[in-house]
Amino acid sequence: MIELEHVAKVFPGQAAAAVTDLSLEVGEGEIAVLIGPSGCGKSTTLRMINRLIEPTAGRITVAGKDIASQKPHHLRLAIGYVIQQGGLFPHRTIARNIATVPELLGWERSRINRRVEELMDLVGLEADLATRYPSELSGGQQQRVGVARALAADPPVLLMDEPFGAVDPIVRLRLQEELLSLQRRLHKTIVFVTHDIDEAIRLADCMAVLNVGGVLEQTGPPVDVLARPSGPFVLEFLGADRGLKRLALIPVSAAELQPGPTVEISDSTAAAKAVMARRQTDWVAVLDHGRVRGWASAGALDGHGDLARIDLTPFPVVVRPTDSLRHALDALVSSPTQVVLVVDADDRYLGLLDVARIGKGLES
Amino acid sequence: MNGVHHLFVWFNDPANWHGVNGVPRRVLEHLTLWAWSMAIACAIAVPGGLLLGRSRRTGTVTVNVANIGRAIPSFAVIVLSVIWLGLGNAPVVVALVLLAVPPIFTFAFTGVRQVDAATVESARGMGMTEARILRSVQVPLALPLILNGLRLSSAAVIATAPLAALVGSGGLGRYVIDGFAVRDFAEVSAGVTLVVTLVVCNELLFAGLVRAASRGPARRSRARSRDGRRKT
Amino acid sequence: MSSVLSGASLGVSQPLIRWSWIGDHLGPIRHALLQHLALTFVAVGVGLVLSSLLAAFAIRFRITYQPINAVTGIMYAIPSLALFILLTPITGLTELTAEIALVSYTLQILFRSIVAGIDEVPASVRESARAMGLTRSQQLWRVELPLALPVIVSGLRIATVTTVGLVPISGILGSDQGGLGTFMFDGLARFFYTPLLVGGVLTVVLAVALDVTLVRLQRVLTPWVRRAHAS
Repeated sequence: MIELEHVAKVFPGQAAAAVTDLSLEVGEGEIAVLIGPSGCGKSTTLRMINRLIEPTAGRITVAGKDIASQKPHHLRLAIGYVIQQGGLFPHRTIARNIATVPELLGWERSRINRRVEELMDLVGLEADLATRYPSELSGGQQQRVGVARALAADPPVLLMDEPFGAVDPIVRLRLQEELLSLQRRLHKTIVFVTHDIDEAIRLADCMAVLNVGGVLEQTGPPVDVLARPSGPFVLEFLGADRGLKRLALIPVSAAELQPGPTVEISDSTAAAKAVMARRQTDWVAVLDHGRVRGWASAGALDGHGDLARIDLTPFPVVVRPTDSLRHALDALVSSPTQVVLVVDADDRYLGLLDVARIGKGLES
Repeated sequence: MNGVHHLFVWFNDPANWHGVNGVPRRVLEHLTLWAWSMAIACAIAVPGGLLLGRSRRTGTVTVNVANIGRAIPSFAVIVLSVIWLGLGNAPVVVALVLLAVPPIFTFAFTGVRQVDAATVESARGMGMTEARILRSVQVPLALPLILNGLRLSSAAVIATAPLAALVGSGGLGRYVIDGFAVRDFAEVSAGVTLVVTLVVCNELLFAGLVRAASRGPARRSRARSRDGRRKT
Repeated sequence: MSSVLSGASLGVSQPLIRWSWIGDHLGPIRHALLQHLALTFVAVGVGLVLSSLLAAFAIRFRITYQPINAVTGIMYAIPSLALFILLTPITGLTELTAEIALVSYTLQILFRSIVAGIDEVPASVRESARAMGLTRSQQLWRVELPLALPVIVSGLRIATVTTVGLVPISGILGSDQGGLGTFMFDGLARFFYTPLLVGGVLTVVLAVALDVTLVRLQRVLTPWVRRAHAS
């Protein structure tokens, strides 16, 4: 969808190039994240895509067309742009801000009004905010308006320059999640610039790690970059807890579960003891038609004939196959049994995970 | 360029440098009006601006004062003052004071407001009396802005004082009016030249004063705030 | 018209306002008021146009800002009385002379206000406007100028009020000139309080009224400024 071929940028009066011989491809419907330290040219690169900055060398094509062959403002009408400070027009209401590009394109009033309503709903803004001015909204709300405004004319491409940098971490997390859910519905091609490695890992389908001077160090899905960093720069940039970051990306379903000691509640205590002996544990999980009820230690079984009358201890934490391995590890660390229980959406027992199996899950 | 030549001739004529209508006398008259007006305006506006600027409460009052002051037409004020004060210097001084007060007040107010609150707090904490704080901390730090207000007012007063000639007073306006009466445009131009020269002198004087004031305490305070508040 | 009033005695007793005079002169008063307004509007209007051109130039070629600022500043420093008089050999004792001088006094403040207003538009807003695909002219008219309005209007207020104050001085050019200034000069020449009061008070009232009107106009044109509050 977007192709950068040997793109370079040198600013007049500066000795060092901002971007050096960068070649990058962004597939359609993908979120590509440009990440790197300051001076790596990520914002410069983003701005070259919509010609806010003209490349000194190289070629950029969007949807197959060379951007240099189009008039800049035509190009920009078809590309959405979101920046950190929002850049909302203070003198226009929220509705008119969002309507900016459709108005420029000459849509009829009724179509514009419908689209504004639709977009405000899409980004989670209450309808009565439409007649307010940007200064009356919170930072998070303003950012949503920025996104709605960028999406107004339904452009295939969206450029985002650290859009969530100016809001507090809780709001930022929410906005990231909403962006992902928006993307699942809209399938835009998004180029996203950030310096926050965790944000990049959360959002990217494809991550491009840039070094100072716009040198491309590595590109690929976050899972791959985390697993096999291409060199010392990427290694250091990813940070010390690279392994934990990777765990956050891998679901529990990717790991091999341990069967674990289980009995049905209708079974006898003798059967329970047999299971414990076979599995070499001093505890047993008690199920009711496959659904987890709790667990009992060997001592608790003594003196009882069947299991129905025994007080079962409920499991403090359970994880599901869609949870990340990192979440499982976190649960494990706080569990006294050194294993964590995995159940499906209906609380049906699936298996157990221990540290070793979580580690093995990383290797997949 | 004929006019420039005539102007030159006028200034070269020794007769124009002596007597009641001579340059020294008229300049002195002009500066007398200026001095009275600035003195009275400062006496009102500097303490007013400083005291109101220190207090936390007043806010919009002062902006309104500044705005109203701008709306006052000086010639109209002179004319109205003549009714009660008669002809001569008095009505002119009234109008010039009204002209000079708003900028001095506003800059004194803002000047003292923008002094770093932390500096004032620490001075208070050291046991300085309020009067001492004002004298030793706030005024020195506000000085560049106060001087800026004085500069603007002073220039306006110099440029407006020629109106005095319309109500029987003296000053450089006399060259303008008397010259016009006999269509001697060289004399009129001489009057203008002298006024503009005084305005330029005003600028130079205050530029020097502002530079001197910006050196010591203001620079130290700026350096302190530069170190103490690095951007993370 | 000479306004040298040496020797006029202060002892002449007269009431502060001779209402009969006002009653007899309602026509001339109205005429003078209209002339005063006309002179003001024309001066500020022409000044606005010229200043906009100068401002557009200075924004495009930054290096010309200081020279233009200095030149318009010098024009402002020349005493109004003298400027009216010095123009007479060129344009005579006419309203044109008055207008040329009045226009030149508006230039510096309007020029600086327009440039300052446009400069104060936040960089992020300008960048967004450009990035969304607005052409240069659309950026200027739909984004930059509306946002520059508060500062421009405040400069306009100063220019208008200053002009109202200067118009009477152009009465030096003749008894049919100067708007409300005719009464002021008349009163000074004859040492007659009533026209002095009429001229002076009406000028002050006019200045304040125009100031207030412009403030209202600015509020109407910029509704987003009033509604700002931190959230």
